[in-house]
Order: sequence, then structure tokens, then C-alpha cells
Amino acid sequence: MIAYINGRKRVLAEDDLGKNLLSFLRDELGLTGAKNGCGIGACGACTVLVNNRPVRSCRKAVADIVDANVLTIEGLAREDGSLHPLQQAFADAGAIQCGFCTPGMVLTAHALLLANHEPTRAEIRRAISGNLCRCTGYQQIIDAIESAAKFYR
Amino acid sequence: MTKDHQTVKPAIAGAPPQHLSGGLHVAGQSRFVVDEPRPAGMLFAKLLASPYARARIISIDTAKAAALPGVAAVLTHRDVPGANQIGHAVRDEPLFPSDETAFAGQPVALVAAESEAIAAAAVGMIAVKYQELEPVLTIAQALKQDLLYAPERRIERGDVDQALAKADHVIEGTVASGGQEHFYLETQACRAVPGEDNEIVLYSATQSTAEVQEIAARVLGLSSNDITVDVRRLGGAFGGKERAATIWACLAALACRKTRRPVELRLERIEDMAWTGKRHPYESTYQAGFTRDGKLTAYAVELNANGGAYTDLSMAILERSMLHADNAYHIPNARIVGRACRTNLPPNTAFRGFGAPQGIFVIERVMERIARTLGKDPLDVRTLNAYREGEATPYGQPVDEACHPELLDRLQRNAQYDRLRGEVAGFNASHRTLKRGIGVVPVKFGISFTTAFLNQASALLWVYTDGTVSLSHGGVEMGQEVNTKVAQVAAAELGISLDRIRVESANTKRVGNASPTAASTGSDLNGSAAREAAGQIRQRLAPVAARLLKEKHGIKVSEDRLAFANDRICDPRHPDKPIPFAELVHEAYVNRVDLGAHGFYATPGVHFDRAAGQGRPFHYFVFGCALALMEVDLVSGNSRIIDAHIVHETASSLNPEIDQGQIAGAFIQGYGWATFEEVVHDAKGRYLAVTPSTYKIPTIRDLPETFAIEMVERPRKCSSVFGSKGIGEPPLIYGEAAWFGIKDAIESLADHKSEADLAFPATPEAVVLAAEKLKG
Ligand code: FES
Ligand code: FES
Repeated sequence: MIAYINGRKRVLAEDDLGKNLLSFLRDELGLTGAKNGCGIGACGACTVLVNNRPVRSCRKAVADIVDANVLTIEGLAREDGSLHPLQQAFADAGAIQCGFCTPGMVLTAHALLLANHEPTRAEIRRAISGNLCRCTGYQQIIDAIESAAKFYR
Repeated sequence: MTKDHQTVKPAIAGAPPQHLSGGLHVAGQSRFVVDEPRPAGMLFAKLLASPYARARIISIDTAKAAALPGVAAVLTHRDVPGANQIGHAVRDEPLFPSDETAFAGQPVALVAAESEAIAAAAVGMIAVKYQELEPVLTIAQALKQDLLYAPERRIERGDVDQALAKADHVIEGTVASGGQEHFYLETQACRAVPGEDNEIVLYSATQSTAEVQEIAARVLGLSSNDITVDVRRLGGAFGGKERAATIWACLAALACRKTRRPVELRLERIEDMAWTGKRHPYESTYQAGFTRDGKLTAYAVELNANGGAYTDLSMAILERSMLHADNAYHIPNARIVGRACRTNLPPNTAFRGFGAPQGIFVIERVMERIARTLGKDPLDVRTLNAYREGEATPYGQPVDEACHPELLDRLQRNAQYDRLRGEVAGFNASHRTLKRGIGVVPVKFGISFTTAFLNQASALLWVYTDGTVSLSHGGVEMGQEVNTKVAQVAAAELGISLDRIRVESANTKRVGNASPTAASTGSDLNGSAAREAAGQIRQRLAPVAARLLKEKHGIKVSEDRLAFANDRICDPRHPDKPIPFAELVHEAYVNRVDLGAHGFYATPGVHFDRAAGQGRPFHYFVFGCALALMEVDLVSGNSRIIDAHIVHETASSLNPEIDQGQIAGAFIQGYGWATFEEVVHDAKGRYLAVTPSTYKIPTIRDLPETFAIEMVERPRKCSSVFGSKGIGEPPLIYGEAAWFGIKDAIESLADHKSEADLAFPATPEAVVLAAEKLKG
């Protein structure tokens, strides 16, 4: 069994399958960009993309990513390490304070923009309404996503 | 003029980045406590918490848990080698209770094991016998039994009783406000790593490095120099990690000490919400006298806080409530009484605003009642009563550079207040169940720790021979960008670009005895200390630069006329012949000039006499105001925010983008507190809403359609480093405008002639209830 994690093929062992996906990513693959904000699927801090759809990794098992493409925040930057335009937009818009919600926010926004190159502000709100941020008050997050949309067209 | 009063904007090459760690955050590369690679052999700790708010502990049997394979230690009060005491200002809080539990969620035993799963299983095997006792949960119960943390405090000015007797109108009432869960996204966490000898390094998610160090040493029977506390950043804190992080760090330290292995303790979200203290609920009573024009002449208020199970910061929080009981208004005759009640809830603690929001809410209610009594617009009453330049507060500090009349004026203009009032009236006339209302709240917020000695800070700065800088300061980065601002200050002082500076983690070995990063003072105090350190370096570099200019370019210039800017040093008359900073530094090094500096800063002139209730507790005040346009559905009780307007005086902001982010985030947090964030417990004192599914914090759907923030930037004498002002807390109070907007909407049912009896927070149930009552 295999999965593609940030574009790299990874062989999954039988006894990996029952493991919690968030723990697997963080503790075994060292991909600590996904955060545990609640562990019960209610905050979005653990969001990763599975086949380009946002998924709460705290509520998934490794079995759920068999044969799938998984994108974590570590896989979004360009090969040369430079930031993806969406990441740059978050940084430029001041859409970050403590940064704990940021990886989940960015990935959720990335999934939205992959599917919808010209989202309205209402659509942006809907797409990230399940991602909690206690710091920013969200305004700059919407600005960042809106300004990055052009890079997806 | 002192340095504090210089209002020179830091000249920084290029646009300041909004967040030094921004690039790391968006790349998922920034590390929080539990993101660091795990040290070899690390154990995981889990806690057994008391299910009872108050119970006698009859026995604790840990044998079965200890025998479980993979368990390294099971610890209770019997295992504390030093003092079983983690109280700080007042020593009244045990690490583990030994005879009686004081709140539901209090840790009674800890298991350290090879995995979290084993630790959790072992926790389930600990057998504790309790005898349940009757808990005290409410302010009313505590007052009746005289359960106070200290004798009541008082601040008095003028003759209240006489002024009440003489007033044209007298009103009285009671006002309650609710608690609030911090809901920092990163839950409480600490990793304890043993070193050689007695050393332990605590990677603690705390706002208070020195406190954790001191108390962990006390609990372990070690010295402060055995313990190192290191904090790179926090995933939000909002006060919830100022005092309340200490217990988890001490527990991890204890497990580490006992097992001599690294230990990680991280609370699950449910544990964090169920076990940790929150914003203090308040119940207050007041009497107010005013003239027929609406000028407040007498105000007697009793502020009662629900402090929870231990003193924690309750007395300081109560003090700040009392010092903000006047908010933005001049009151010639005032009597402010404060009480902090001991109850069996988790110890309530610091939360952005630190008691000020609760104290301010009461007088804002009074302003509204004055307006309703006289049939005036509440905004006019607020403007009428606002401090004018130099008028004194009830505690005797003059309000210098008072500017609320002007700020309220700007707010009216920005929101087109008169037109908006007309539109709202029109809307309400044509809608039966949907109603709209406008709420306005001005805020005056005093900056400084009211415990005067805490107003000090240090910074440690090294310039390396390649011209880069390592900067340590006592502040903890938690998203408020204190690192960015402090680096900006040092960069400006040395005339170098920000990318030469690395801001290090907050570490007790580099910066000892640091005050908590709190009270909106982080950038003021640590920025001033960093400026002091950078200034020393600059002074030592100046003679070297003067000599180099002479040798290299034949320029004769006195040291004090040198310009440090853009990574170069030059004679301003010959800007084309500079010395590069890196070259200067290297030259200084080979000439054996000290390139390391320790800067220290103590806020001048702040003092407060608690017994007399008089003094000058604040270095300066922050001023601003907010307006919220709200809509309520009287059938469902749901409300929403349509527009928010804020006018906030930032003085000479170090970084306007950061300040804007603080204002926006704080407003939304305050709006949540005032309207739908509801802390509820059952009859046994157990918190009921302990997940994000049941306790609602604002989501992106709660953002107003129009969210307009005007930052009034101008030089102010009363300000801090480079003329800037603290920003973190005051804007939270703007959120109360939403509550007043909802109240105003409901009162449209009675033509704004009588007041709605609306609870705080203005939840849907509260709205429906208030509307029904008003309809009679
Ligand atoms: S950690 Fe997965 S949704 Fe909160
Ligand atoms: S930036 Fe702190 S939670 Fe979003």
C-alpha cells in the first residue's frame, strides 16, 4: 500500500493503517506543520489536503490516505524553498499573528482556490468558516486569499 | 526631554515586515513547544483531575497504575520534594491538593509513561476515594459567607453621599458580566528536559519565564539557577498563559526530576477548557447621581469578582477593574469598592483587558441609563461626560492629552452617525421581528503594570564580527509581534536593517527576572531595554567610526554628529563617504571594543498607594472608541454584526500594520465575549461547554460587513519607546459596543424610552428574554 505525501511516494505498512493521521504525520513523518488544536475535528488547525480536498487529519486514520495524494503545509512551498504565492499573500497581508492556525488556514484556502479561481468574499468566508483563529479577527485572512486568487487563474 | 518623549519615528530601511516569523508560519516551519524534535527517551504525562469542585481526599491508591508496563512514575502530593506550593503573589495554591480539592479539574495525580496511550490507561487505574463537600460557586454565595481573597479595596474622591443627595437624578442598579474561555489555539504545554547535575530546561508555553523558573525551583527544592525556562513562541495566550501556565510547567518539571528523563505534558483541548481558569465573571452594584443635563456628579460602585479557587492574579485584576471604573469619564465624586471572591471554580485568571473590561462595562451601563432617563442620545451623554485635558481620575492621576470628545467626533463622522440613526429608525419601523441598533463605547486604558515594580525589563544584545546581531529580551512572542517591534527599535538605534537581527527565544539564562509579557507593556518595556542596549553599542562604535572616517576619507567629524543609517555610518555632511556597518564592527572587534550590551529599563514615575487608593499607576493612557451596528432577530434571538467602526489613537506607531491587526483581533474577541461566548457550569461546578463545538468563539462568519479602523497617528508626549503606545488589550473593550447595539435594537420596541434588561453575554436566549420583558 502506498500514499503520495507532498509528491513523494511512501509505502504504508499494514500496522500503520489504524493510526491517527495527524499523529502519523507529526510524530512519524516529522511534518509538524499540521497542528493539534482540538483533536475532535472542530478547529481546522490539523487540516491537510487529500486529493486536493481539505481533511481534518485528527479525525482520519492512515487507512484513509491509501493511494491518495496528501498535501501538507510543508509541501506547498516551491521546490527551491520559496514561498507559494498564497503563502506570500498571507505573510504580506498580515493574516498571521500567533501562526498556530495558519497552516490549516492556508491549506483550506489553497483547496478553495484550486477549485474556484475567482471566489467572492462570501465564498471565501464559507470555505474557511470551519477554521478557527483566535488572534486575527479574520479580516486580513480574507484579504490574503482574495489577493492570491489571481495566481490560480 | 527624556528618551521616552522623543517622538522620532524609527528610520528603518525598507518596509517593516509585519511579522519576523511570518515566512516560517506560512511554511509550517515555525516551532511551538510540541513541534520541536522529541528528545530521546521522552515520556508523556497525563493527569488525573478531581471530578468534584470540593471534596475531601480520603485516599489515593496508585499501585495498580504504577505496575502497568510502560509507566515510569505515578506522582501525587506525596512526591513533591520541595514546597507543594505554586502560589505567586499569594502562596495559597498547592501543586497537588493533599487533603481537599478546590475545583473540578484540579490535578490530583500525574502519570508519566512511554506513550500517551499508556499514560492515559494508567490514569484510569488510579483509585481515589473522595468525600464530596458542598462547593461555593457564585459571587452571592461567597459574599454571604464572607469568602474574600483580601479585605475589600477602596478608591474614593470627593464626597459621594453628599453629591448623591444633591443630584437632580439618582439611579441605582446591578450589572453582571460573564466569563470567557481564552481558547488560545495552542493548548497548555511544557517539555521538561534534564541536564547534568540538577539542571532542568523547561520549554514551557508561558508568558512568564521568571515566574515558572522561580516556582519550579521552589516545588523541586532546587535553586533558580538550576532551572532554565525557554520560550520561542506561543500559539496565542491572551493572559491565559501568564499565571495559568505555571502549574503545567511545574508538573512536567516534577515528572522530569523524578524520572530523570524528558517529559512532555500537553493538555488536550477538552482538558484545557474544563480545567483552566477564565475571565472573571463580575457582579456589581452602583448608584449614580447626575444633573438634568446628563453630567455625572456622583458614582458609587461595588465591583465583585468571582476569583475561583485560588488567589492567582485576582487581586491585581480587581485593582485594574477599580482603576477603570471611571473609563473615559470625569467623575467629581466617586467611591469605588472592590472585592475578589473565593469560589470553587478553576482559578480565574488574566484575560486580555485584565479586569478593565468588566469595570468599564458598569459605567457604560450607567451612561446608557442616564441617556434613557433624560431622553438623550447615549453618544451625547458620553461626549458630555468625557475627560477634558488634565482632569483627574478618582485615584488622582490627571488624564493628560485626553481626547475623547474629538475621537467620538471622528467616529460619528466616519460612521455617518446621524444618517445611520435615521436608517436604523426606518429599518425598525418597517420590520417587525428584525431590529437594528447602534452601540458606542469609548475606551480609556491605562498602560503599566499597576504593581509598580513589574515595570522593568532587560535586553541582551550581541553584535557579531560579521555585523549581524543576536537580540534577546524578556518579552514572549505570542502573535502580538513583540519580537518584530523590539527588533525594529534596535535596528533603528543602530541604523541597520532588520534582517541583520535575529530575535532569540525568551530564555531565563539570557534575560533573567523578566516580568510577564502582559498588560500591553511588552513592546514598551522590552523595546526600551533593547534601545538602551543598542545605544550602548552605538556609543562604543562611534569613536571607532570617527577614526575610520578620518583615516579612510580624511573626514573630521565629532562622534556625536555621526549618522547611523542604512547599514552605514557617515558624517551627514559627506553621505557619499560612509563606513559600512560590518566593516566598522570588525574594526571595533580587533580594537578590543566590547560588542555585547545589556540594556535595562524601568518605567519612570509610576506608583500607586493601595491603602490610600491614590497615585499615578499609569505611564500614560490609550484612547479610542468604537461603534457597532447590530441586527437582532427577536424570534430566534440571533444577532449579527453589520458594521463596526473604530477610531484608535496609536500615537507614533512602531508598526501600523501590526497595530491594526491587534485592534481587529481584539475587537472580534471582545465581541465574542459580549454576545455569544458563554461560560456555563453545572450545579457541581463543572464546566459544561468544553469543546469548540459547544463553546462558540467567533468564526469568519462573525466578521462585520464593514470593518473600518481609523488609526489616529500623531506625536504624543505621554507615550513610550519612539513615541509609540501599547496596543494589545484596550481594543478588546470595543467589543462591548456590540452588546450595546443589541440592547439598543431591543429597546426600539419601547421607542427607546425604557431600558432592556439584557444579560451579558447577549446570547439568543438573553435577547428573547429581554425582548419579552420589555414588551411586558
Ligand atoms: S485538531 Fe483537528 S480539527 Fe482541531
Ligand atoms: S493566528 Fe493565532 S490562531 Fe490564528
